[in-house]
Amino acid sequence: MRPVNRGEWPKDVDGHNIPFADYSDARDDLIRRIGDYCSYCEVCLHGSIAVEHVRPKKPQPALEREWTNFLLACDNCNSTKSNKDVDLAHYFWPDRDNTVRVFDYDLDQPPRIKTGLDPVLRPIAERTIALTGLDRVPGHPSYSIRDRRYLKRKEVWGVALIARGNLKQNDTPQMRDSILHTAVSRGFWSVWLQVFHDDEEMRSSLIKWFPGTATDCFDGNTRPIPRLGGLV
Amino acid sequence: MKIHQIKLKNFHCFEDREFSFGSRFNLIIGDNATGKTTLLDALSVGLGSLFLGFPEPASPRNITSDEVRLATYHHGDSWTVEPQYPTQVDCSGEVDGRQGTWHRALTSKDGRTTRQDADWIRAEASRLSEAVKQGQPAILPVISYYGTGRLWVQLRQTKTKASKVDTLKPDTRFVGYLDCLNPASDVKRLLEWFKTQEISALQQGTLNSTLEAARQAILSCIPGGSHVGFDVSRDELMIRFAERSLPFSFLSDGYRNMVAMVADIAVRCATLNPYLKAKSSQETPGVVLIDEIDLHLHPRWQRRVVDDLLRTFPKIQFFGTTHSPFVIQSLPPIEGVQLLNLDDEHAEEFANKSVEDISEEIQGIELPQRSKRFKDMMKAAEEYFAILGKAEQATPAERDAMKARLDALSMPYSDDPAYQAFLKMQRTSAGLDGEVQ
Repeated sequence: MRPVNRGEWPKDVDGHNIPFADYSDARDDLIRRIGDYCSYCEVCLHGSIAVEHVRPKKPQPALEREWTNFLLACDNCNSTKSNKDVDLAHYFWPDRDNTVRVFDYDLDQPPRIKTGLDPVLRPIAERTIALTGLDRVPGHPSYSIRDRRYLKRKEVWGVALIARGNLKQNDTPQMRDSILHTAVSRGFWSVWLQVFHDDEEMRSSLIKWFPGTATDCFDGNTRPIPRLGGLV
Repeated sequence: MKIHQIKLKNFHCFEDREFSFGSRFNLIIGDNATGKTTLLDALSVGLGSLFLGFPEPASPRNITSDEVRLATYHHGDSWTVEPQYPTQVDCSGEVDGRQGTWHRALTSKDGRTTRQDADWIRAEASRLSEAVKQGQPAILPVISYYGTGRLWVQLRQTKTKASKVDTLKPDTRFVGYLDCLNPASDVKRLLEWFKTQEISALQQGTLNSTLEAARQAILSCIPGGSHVGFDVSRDELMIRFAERSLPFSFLSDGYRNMVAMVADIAVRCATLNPYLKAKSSQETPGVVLIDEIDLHLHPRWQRRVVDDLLRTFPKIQFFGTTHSPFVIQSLPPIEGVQLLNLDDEHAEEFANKSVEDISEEIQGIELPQRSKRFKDMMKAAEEYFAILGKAEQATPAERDAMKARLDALSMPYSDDPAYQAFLKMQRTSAGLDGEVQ
């Protein structure tokens, strides 16, 4: 899960918050700020993505058009998360926490809780995975055949590993650029970060190239650091 | 020209319905009898209003009395049907870069389609028409409607084509609107145009850029075609493929239909805006309506037809209807491309969905059983993910073998052509090709 910063409420020329007549009007601003990726599973949806209410609008109608309550989500994450109200303190959130410090990504696999995570925080991480069904792959009891997240993630693993091989053969600025273009157009930032875990330059570029990645989650050497205001 | 919105009242099956459109491609889907062709007919009324201000052979499209909605009433044992006048078509759109609205209505059985509320479009048309009269380079939008009857007409004409193809005399630019809203297309005129251009190029001994533009447009939509041209000695339009040349009349239904339609659009563009020369297909704006865009096309071709049209005619707004999940799936997720589902008013997401999901979720067809290959893939995926979790239970070789099997089985279920190509390449270099089938 990529930690993101959606930035301040979009302003008009006089510096006032632009009100959203409908929550879906925030979509373009959100895509500009944090890219057209699902905030939870990180799939890239090239524009066909929906505005997600962190706290669902049904139980929290006051937050329906509230900028700070918006993220972007894919169909699968959105429908698994459903309309159930959530207590923000019981979950990790990509716009509040340094989620890089919570989850690990291994070849083709769904996000896994880091072995070193403080045991006190483990239940929070488990709830976060369950909230949007990030661990659902064929064989999982709640897996539905309409859920293609695992397939998309697997595709990106394949492409990212090939990119890594290409870079080894031919390490040029042009190759790095073209890999970054590929990464941005395919999403799954966490997978790319893992594949290039030992390449600080690449990690630093990935943090910069994906729009809205929360830069305050990393030190100067791209090592994750605690996020101000977050649980981790 | 573009249509942004249309509002229909008592038009055929639509009692009161409003549609908003994308600027590039609008794919209309829905069950039989939900009004797909009716929507195209209504659009042709809207488009045909431009001809209120154009000289012949452009002729305005009016609302016909059989397009009036009929209400059915039940009286115990018997039924009556009552026509619901007035029938109204309200449009908002763009002509020559300016925005406006216009309205047409049929208010009674013996009445004529009203034009008093179509002043705006009539004035725009008159302005364009005056510029054309003065020989100025005003851009005329191409307008064309291809109905499902398009193939039949061509068949009949090619069968009786004992006589030779005539050549065309110089004529007005407006001839590019001849019969353009008639859903049946005219292949005779197309052949005549090609013959005339080909002969004129031969006589002048130079490349004819207008003819080249039409050739390029056709070839960019015909997979495998390498040349298209009128063979004067054979008196036939010939299409050259890698290994052989075929006369137009010998082409399969799918090819002939596609060649004729793309050629017709390209030739109309060239006729309407001859001063654009080689750029007539790329620079001519307009609106094209295509009923059943997948008509007679192989699924592989269905997957590319939308892209081909968008690329070949970058300034045209298209409206197409289809039942084909392949066409729906192929819609590129770009600005201005829109799926209109008449069964269900709210817009659907179509990108990143498999053909199976589109049949099931968008078109509402339950798939009683997925293919054997799909089930095999799910089983392979289950096995693979089961061992991934516990590294100690499988050797790297076993894991790689399972991964390879899953890769091979999932290839056809990926919507990502680049990834498929990567996988194929990898499998070929590993000598695995054809192993898992």
